[in-house]
Formats: sequence, structure tokens, C-alpha cells
Amino acid sequence: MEEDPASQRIPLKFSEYEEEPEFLLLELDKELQNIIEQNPDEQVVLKAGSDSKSSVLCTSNSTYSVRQLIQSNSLLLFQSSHPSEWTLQDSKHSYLELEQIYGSIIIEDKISYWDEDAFEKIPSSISFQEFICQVPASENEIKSFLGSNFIMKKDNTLYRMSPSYIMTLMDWIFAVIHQLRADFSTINVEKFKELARADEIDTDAIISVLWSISRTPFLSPVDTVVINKSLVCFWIGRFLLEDVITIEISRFLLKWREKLPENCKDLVSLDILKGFYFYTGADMIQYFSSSQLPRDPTRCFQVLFQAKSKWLYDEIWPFVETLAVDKSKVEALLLKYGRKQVTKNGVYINSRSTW
Amino acid sequence: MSMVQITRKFGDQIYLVELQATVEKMSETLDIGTLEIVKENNKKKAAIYVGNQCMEGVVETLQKPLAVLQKSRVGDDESPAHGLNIVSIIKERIRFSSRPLPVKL
Repeated sequence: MEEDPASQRIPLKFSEYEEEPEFLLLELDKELQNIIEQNPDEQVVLKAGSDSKSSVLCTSNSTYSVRQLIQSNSLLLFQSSHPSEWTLQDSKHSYLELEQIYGSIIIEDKISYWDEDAFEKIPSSISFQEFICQVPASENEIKSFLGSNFIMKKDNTLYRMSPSYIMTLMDWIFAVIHQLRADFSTINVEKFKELARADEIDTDAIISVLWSISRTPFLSPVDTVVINKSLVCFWIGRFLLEDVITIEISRFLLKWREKLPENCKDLVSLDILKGFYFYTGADMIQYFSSSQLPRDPTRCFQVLFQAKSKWLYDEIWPFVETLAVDKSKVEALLLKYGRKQVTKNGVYINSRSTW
Repeated sequence: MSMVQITRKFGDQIYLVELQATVEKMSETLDIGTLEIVKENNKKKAAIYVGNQCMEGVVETLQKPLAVLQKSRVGDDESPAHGLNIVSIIKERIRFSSRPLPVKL
């Protein structure tokens, strides 16, 4: 309320209009309040799911889950149409509560595979704008995901590429770098497109691979990119492990090193692949992607403990860290669904016996 | 999933009164009652008089402000759509948590 005198007496009235405006009340955190009040150009959108539980509110960078809280108290909304009189506009018993979450980006049911062998028939898929509308995540979270997961954009339509095709393209890129005696830090995009055309390789596919191994923002029109060695190491390791599913650690590390360009071999380490495997024995690992896990914490932990009933704390953390933005909430979930055990060999999270 | 743009369209300030009761229009008159706000020692006290009843309350700052959203119609007649406007942001509420008492004459 405005700066006011020591006391005010305000007559309260019903609205004279039969039809009252229907309002919604939305609770704001500091970030959202700041965006609404200080950044008029920033887009805020509400994405409503088919059921009321899956609605999200998105700014350009953040995603919030939306929950309706019902209360028994009346929330009367008055408007001051005259200087010293308030008119009742609406009476509510609920408001919308927001909680910041990581956006959920699932592409399997939305983005089709690009068929690199079928030159004439173009598969149908989803447009970039449609994808933004349908996915419960902020635009920048979506762009970041698309730009780092080999999603190709062809005539405004999005396509996935198979791991084998991506590996073939990466091999081509490294061969060209070697041929040109170039290094990872100055990759001229136009030059690579020109060489791709000469070798009858899809230039959109090459761009997608270059973006995904260089941290270049999706759709940004840059002239040069810097290939990131850690990303190269990560993706080749991940594709190899995804292909074999289960493998002895020493064999896997050898295979992985063999597949990498010379300047990336020193980066080989299972640490890079945390969140994409778990130990099935002292010397064995099994591919398991955190992206396969349900977002609902109960179901997520159920799947994890079905995979194995005893996890090292550091091993399970990458699989659960995106269940909440606030890390203390993730900790609380670990203790709610698992039983912490501290031993001389490390800290374990064990399955609770009942669900 | 459907997407709705939320736009800012601030109008007159909206005030929030929270009470453990409902307000109903029983007759032709538009009068509800009177709200009294008194500043005392850096705090604001409130009282609401409805008929021969009175409730005492406080004016307090909301921990999290509330945005007031109103549905709007966007697009044209051929392809109408809905949007949401933020018409006000409420940072304080006037909260009455006590039961109504008869007004002392």
C-alpha cells in the first residue's frame, strides 16, 4: 500500500457489475518478481499439461512446477476504483504455488531419427517452435539440450541422429582436422561445410556435431568453433558403452582410448561418464543413463534400487541430482528413499526394504 | 501441452484481505462494510466492520508476493486464443484471523 496517514477508513463495496473478472493468484519467488517488475521484454509462459499436475511456468532460463494450493480462508481481492473506496472484484480459496525445477526434456516421442541413407524421402518430425511449445522446460534449457545432444535442424525441423552416424561424422571431422593440420581451437565452420559438400556429407549434420562437441549455443551463427576435448572424450566413451552395455573396466578403457583422437587420449577416465554407468562388480560396469529415469522421485528410486540395492553415495548422486534444484532437497530424498550406511570403504545408500 | 503467454498489463492496484469467513451479498445494497487501518509503533493494525460485527487483524508483508493474473482474449475472430495478463502484484495482505465479535455500542 502507498505511504499512508496514521489511520485510514475505507468503505468496502461489492462490484456493481454482475460479471466479475476472474483472477488467478500466483506466488512469486525473488527471481520471478524481478523479471516481471524489471524486465518487461523477458518472456514468461505457462505450459499446461494434459493433467493439472504437469503444468509448468517458464521464463527464458528457468522452469517452475505449478501446484494449486487450496485453503479454507477466503482471499478477497479489492480494487480501488475511487480514491477512498475499495470494490470487491473476486473471492478466492486457492493460489498457485511455484517450485523451481529442472526442465524435463524428452525427445524420444517427439523428434524422429534422420535417415542418412534415404536421400529422397524426408522423414516427418517436429518443428523447433512446436517442440518449444510442447516441452515442459524453458527455452534456453531446451536450446542448451538440443545444442549438446546432436539434434540436427533441417528447414526448421528437428531430427535425431543415430550414434553410429554421429561417430562416422566425428571420424570425418577428425580426419579433416588432421589433413588441414588444424587444431581444435580454430575450426572454420564455412570451410568444413565446403569440404562436407565436396564429400557429399550432409552439412546440417556436420553443424550439429560441431555444435555438440564445442559448447556452441544452439542456432548461433558463428564463424569458428572451439572443439572441446572433454566433450569429445565423453561422447565417444558414452556411445561405446551404450553399444556394449556391460563390459570389464580395463577392456572398456582400452577400447575407449583407441577410438579417440591423439590429443584426447589423456582425458580417458570413468569420472567423465558419471551418471551413465554403475558398477555391477569390482571390475565390471553397466551402461545406465540418468535420462532413462522417471522424474518422479518415488519411481526414480524404485528403478535405481531395482538395478542394484546398494549404491556408493558418489555413484548414485549423478542419477538423482536433478530431482530438485535445491541440493539439500536432493539429500533429503536420498535419506527418505534410501538408508545411509557409513563404512570404512565409503558411504553407501541402501534400499529400504519396503516401498 | 498448450502454451499461454503471460503479459504484463498493470492496472489499478489490487488489495488482498484474508479472513476466516465468506462475504455474501444478501440485499440490493452494494455496501459490505468499512475497513480501518491504524499505524501503531511501525506496525499496521486493521479492523473490519460488517454490519454489527467487527474483526481485528494486521497488515503484513507477504513472504512471497502474489501476482494477480487475469485471462485475456488474444488473436482474431478466425483464430481466437487465450492469454494471461498480470494486472497487479500484491506485496501485503490484511489478515483477519480472529472470529467476528459484536460491535460495542
